[in-house]
Amino acid sequence: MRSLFLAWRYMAAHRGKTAILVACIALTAYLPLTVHLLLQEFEQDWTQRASATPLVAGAKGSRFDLTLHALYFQTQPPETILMGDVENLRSQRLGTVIPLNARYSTQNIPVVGTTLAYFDFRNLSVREGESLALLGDCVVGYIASRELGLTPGDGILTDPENVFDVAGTQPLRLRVAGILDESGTADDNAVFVDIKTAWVIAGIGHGHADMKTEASDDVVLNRENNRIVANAALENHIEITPENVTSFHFHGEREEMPVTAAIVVPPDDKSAVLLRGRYQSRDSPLQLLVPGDVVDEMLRLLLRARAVLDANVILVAGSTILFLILVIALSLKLRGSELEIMFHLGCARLTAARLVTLELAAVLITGLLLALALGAATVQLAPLLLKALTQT
Amino acid sequence: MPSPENGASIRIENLRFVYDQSGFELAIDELELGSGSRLAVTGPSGCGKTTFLRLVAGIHVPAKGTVRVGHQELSRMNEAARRRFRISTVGFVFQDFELIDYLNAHENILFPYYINSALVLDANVRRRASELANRMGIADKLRRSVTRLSQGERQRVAICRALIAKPCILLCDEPTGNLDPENKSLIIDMLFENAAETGATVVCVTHDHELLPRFEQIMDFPSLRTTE
Repeated sequence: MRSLFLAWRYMAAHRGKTAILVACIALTAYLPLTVHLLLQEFEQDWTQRASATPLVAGAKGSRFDLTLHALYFQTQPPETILMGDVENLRSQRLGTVIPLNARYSTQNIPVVGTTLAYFDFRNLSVREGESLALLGDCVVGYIASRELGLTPGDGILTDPENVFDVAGTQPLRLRVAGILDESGTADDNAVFVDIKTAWVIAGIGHGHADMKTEASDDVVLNRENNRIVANAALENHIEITPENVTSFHFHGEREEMPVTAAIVVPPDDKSAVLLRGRYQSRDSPLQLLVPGDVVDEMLRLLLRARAVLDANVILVAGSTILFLILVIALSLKLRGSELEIMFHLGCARLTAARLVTLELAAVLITGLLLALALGAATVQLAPLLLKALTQT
Repeated sequence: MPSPENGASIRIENLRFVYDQSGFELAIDELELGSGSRLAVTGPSGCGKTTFLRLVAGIHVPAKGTVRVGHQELSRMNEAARRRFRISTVGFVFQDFELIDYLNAHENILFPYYINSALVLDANVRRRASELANRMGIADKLRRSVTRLSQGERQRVAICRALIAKPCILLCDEPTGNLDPENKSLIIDMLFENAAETGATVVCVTHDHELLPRFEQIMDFPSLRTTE
């Protein structure tokens, strides 16, 4: 107790030096701890999401891009496939096929066009409002609703695909039909619309005044039987309302509509194997991936990077230990006369050593506790960091 | 252990002590100091005055001969026993005060109690510390860091520390060496006054010949030292 008191008084009197030592230890321990916790959280999240998604179909190309897009709605989607490809998959009768079109965003939050089957597949339920019912409706993920301050009945505009392309897709005002329950996944940070609404956002479907009865002659270039050609002055509706919903239509066949990816949920392993076998040929327009395998491959790459990081941590820890040894050696040298006086007065050399050890232990424990506290805070913030990482 | 109230006699016989590295040798054939007496040790620098104090304190062990304090023969004790002897029997006052700069004046006075469990720190000891400080005129400075005290005040704190465990012998190594003439006289008076109260034997190394008349015995060291 007395040694503890002396150790405390010494550290209190030399609080600057003590604070630097504590900070050194805390930072040295915190950095690898944080990286470890973050990677653990990251791996867990990826593995869970991937293993909960049996198969992903999409255009041939980077399997990493396609998987990340289908699981996390990355803002840079791979090449699109056609709705006809999705119908072909369905026609195999080897599982439920859920199309996704996640090419667009609203205030940088991905807008995911899909079908109601997606909500059943991901066990997503509506906590406020109602589910998708009309063209132009959206349901908002829990975190996205908090970030954008949205409640059912509000409206949000989609982002233009390219701000420099004035002739590109027009923003569409979406009506918030409902807010989803928190799921702890990427679905919390997305806005969901019906896939047809996604095609309207893409400009493939649109609504405008009836040119037979409502459009002025100024916008009509040519009338020929049922075929009417209008000029660019014809205004498209930027919001789908009960009044104008009937004016919305699509140019082109449904089979030609774009889909960025599809989730395939076979009823059993055999169906999955059969389906993958059928789409393995070079001629196949699609690739069918097992997200769990792709994520495992990505994590193996990540582990290699972590080995480099671990080596760096060992070097940093080594240099910190050397720094601590230097500081302790200098400190002992400075305290030489004090320790000598203690010995002269009747203090055992072991007691003096215990005093110094106690000080060192107190600094170490404080530094490690600080690192743990910072690590715990990081774990709390990990979902946000994870989101930031997966959104880039 | 000798009774503090009676002080302790010091008896040295046929003492030989050699520093291995320097070849310095100290030889004392016979020295006897009565309990409660005051001995001044003088001599030029490097003649072995401090070594003598360390031999009496049991910090050094002679190569030959005996050092007896009271009924205890230090040369027969092991290190742990000599440490216990020091903490309970010897009070030290140093020229440079040797206070612990991260403790305040009160904590410095109690310092012997912090470093050896042979001494029990209780309310009586704390009260005694306050009384000693009061007697030394530093009662109002007990909570102050020793780095913020004057030289005279610091030496008073050092004397309080030396006296707190009621030692049988007080070993002082040039206790007035760093003090001005006014403080010098005051400090030596306080030292003797408080030592007399417990009957402690005082051995004081000094270069100051003005102080010698205050001692009962004077030992001049050049005659005791031999150098190869």
